[in-house]
Amino acid sequence: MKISRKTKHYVENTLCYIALFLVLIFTIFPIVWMLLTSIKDEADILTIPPRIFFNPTLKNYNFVFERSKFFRGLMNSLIVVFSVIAITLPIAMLAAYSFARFNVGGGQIQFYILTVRMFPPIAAIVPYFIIFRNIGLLDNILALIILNTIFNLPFTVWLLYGFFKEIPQDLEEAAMTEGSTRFEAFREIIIPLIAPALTVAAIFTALFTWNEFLFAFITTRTEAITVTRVMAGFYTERGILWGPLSACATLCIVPMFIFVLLIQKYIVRGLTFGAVR
Amino acid sequence: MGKVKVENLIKRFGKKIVVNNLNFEVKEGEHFCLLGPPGAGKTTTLRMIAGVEKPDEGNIYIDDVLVNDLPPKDRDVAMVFQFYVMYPSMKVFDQIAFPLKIRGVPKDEIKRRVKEVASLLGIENILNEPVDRLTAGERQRIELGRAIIRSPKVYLLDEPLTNLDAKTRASMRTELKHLMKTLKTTTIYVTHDQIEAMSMADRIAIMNFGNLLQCDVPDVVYNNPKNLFVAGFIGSPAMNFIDCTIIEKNGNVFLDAGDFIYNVSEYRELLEKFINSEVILGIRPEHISISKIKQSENSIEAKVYLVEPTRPEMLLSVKIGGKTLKVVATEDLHFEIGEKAWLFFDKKKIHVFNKKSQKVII
Repeated sequence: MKISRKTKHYVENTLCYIALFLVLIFTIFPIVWMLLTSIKDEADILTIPPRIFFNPTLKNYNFVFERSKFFRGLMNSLIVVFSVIAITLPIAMLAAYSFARFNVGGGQIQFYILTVRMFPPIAAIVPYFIIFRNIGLLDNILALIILNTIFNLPFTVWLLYGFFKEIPQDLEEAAMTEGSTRFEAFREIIIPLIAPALTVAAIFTALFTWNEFLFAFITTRTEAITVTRVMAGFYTERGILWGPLSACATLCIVPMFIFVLLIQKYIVRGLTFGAVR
Repeated sequence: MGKVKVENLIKRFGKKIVVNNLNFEVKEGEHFCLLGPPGAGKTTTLRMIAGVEKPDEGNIYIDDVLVNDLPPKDRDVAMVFQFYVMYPSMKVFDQIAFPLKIRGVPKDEIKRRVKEVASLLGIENILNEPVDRLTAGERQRIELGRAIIRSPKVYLLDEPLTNLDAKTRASMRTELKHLMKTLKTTTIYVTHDQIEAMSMADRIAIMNFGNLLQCDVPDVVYNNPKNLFVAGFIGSPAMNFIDCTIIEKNGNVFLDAGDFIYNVSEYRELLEKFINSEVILGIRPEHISISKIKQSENSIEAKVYLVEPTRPEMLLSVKIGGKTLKVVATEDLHFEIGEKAWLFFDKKKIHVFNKKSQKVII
């Protein structure tokens, strides 16, 4: 039997959607499971096989708000995230620009910076712990800001370096012959051009910092805890509190979800950035 | 206002010398052209004058002030780049207004002058457009507009027409020349296109491999090239070159090309000391007349090899023995391929070059 082209097209499309659906299930399943767990009773959570119909409850959220340090963690996390962005971006921008334009350090410094990302942070955490203990920065968000900045800078510098390299040097040279200083050319011409890239860099920095657990786990106790540290608090001696843990995790997704939603159009622009000129 | 002087200028990229001991002077209001093949160091020279490239040795003066250490913005020059520099985030109006904005010129003054420049360049209707949809011709005009909106001492134009299509290029060339004549500002113009140079410049400096080979008015570089390179570079179609030896026979001086000999006794005084040495005869295609009958003793027999009816002239390739020469003939002369023809060189227009030093003898 001869299959018509239309049918073939139809079959191909269907297969394609099935594949997409499988991938979607795979990626979205943990999130759905987390959401469902967060509104289940403890008895429902541990039932095997899992119940599809159950009485939803907000008990777990209540627990998170009233019996954990969620709001303190949220506050701290937000402060750390925005501080790290505010410190990382200007430094990375200037560093990347000088690497791209003046080849500062002849590539050596650039490579050295990258080595910071070549070892797992846990390898460095003991010396940092000792340093912070000695200067009294344990359980202090300043320590978290410093650590996150150190570990975010290399990536941001390299990301922006690529974007700066893409911008034709003629632009600044033209601006300079037209009467601006290099800094003015940078401010007036280059920064508007690099804005999408800065957005991308800000998003990555925010996500890395928000999700960061190791530094928070090692250097904070009660005062400077972040949301990830709050979540870890639900692993108690009496067992893991699955319901509150899921509720807390759900709440943690929300700020970053909103953040990315708000600036996602800039991501697209940032990633198609090469089309200048 | 607007003299430029370049003194012993040297620039190296690594070990490679791209500008080699350059000396020239551009007079006030002059339209000066740097001409040469790609890689001759013209653009590098221009960039050094603009201040975006630092010379390794030598001095640059603008209006008798040494500017070697001045940043571009303090040199009061305007540069038009080969690849039209458009600030992607700005509309056309802001593109043109940028040099004034950066200098803190008041807003209505900016508006007035942008309008003025836009009408001069015929781009008033696109002032509010973003730049990404503009044609190359429009972009070129915007770049020019950005250069002329303030009155700098010197305009530096780096291959301003190279990226345009042939038709736009021809019309922009006329417009640009008209604009340059109207503005009367000193202009240094870089191009690899000798037609552009010949038509626009008051004076042409021909460069190759970083060396200045000749610097003079268009008439002189065309009629009296100093060396083989200039002779071959200026003129289209290019000059014919024939390897010869100078010989003396029966009291006459001849150029012996192997396939023919050519009497040049008129130039005896100049050629005498080169007898028996190797030289190159240069003759432009437009200085050879071609006919079907032998017109004089000095006519040379040749065979038509190819006919290119470029119109209004006909461009003929003819062969004398193994050598091919280009000849410009008028339209009314009909030659068939393979036909016998007689060539007559305009003796006043021939050039003889020393093969060793490549310098001109006649």
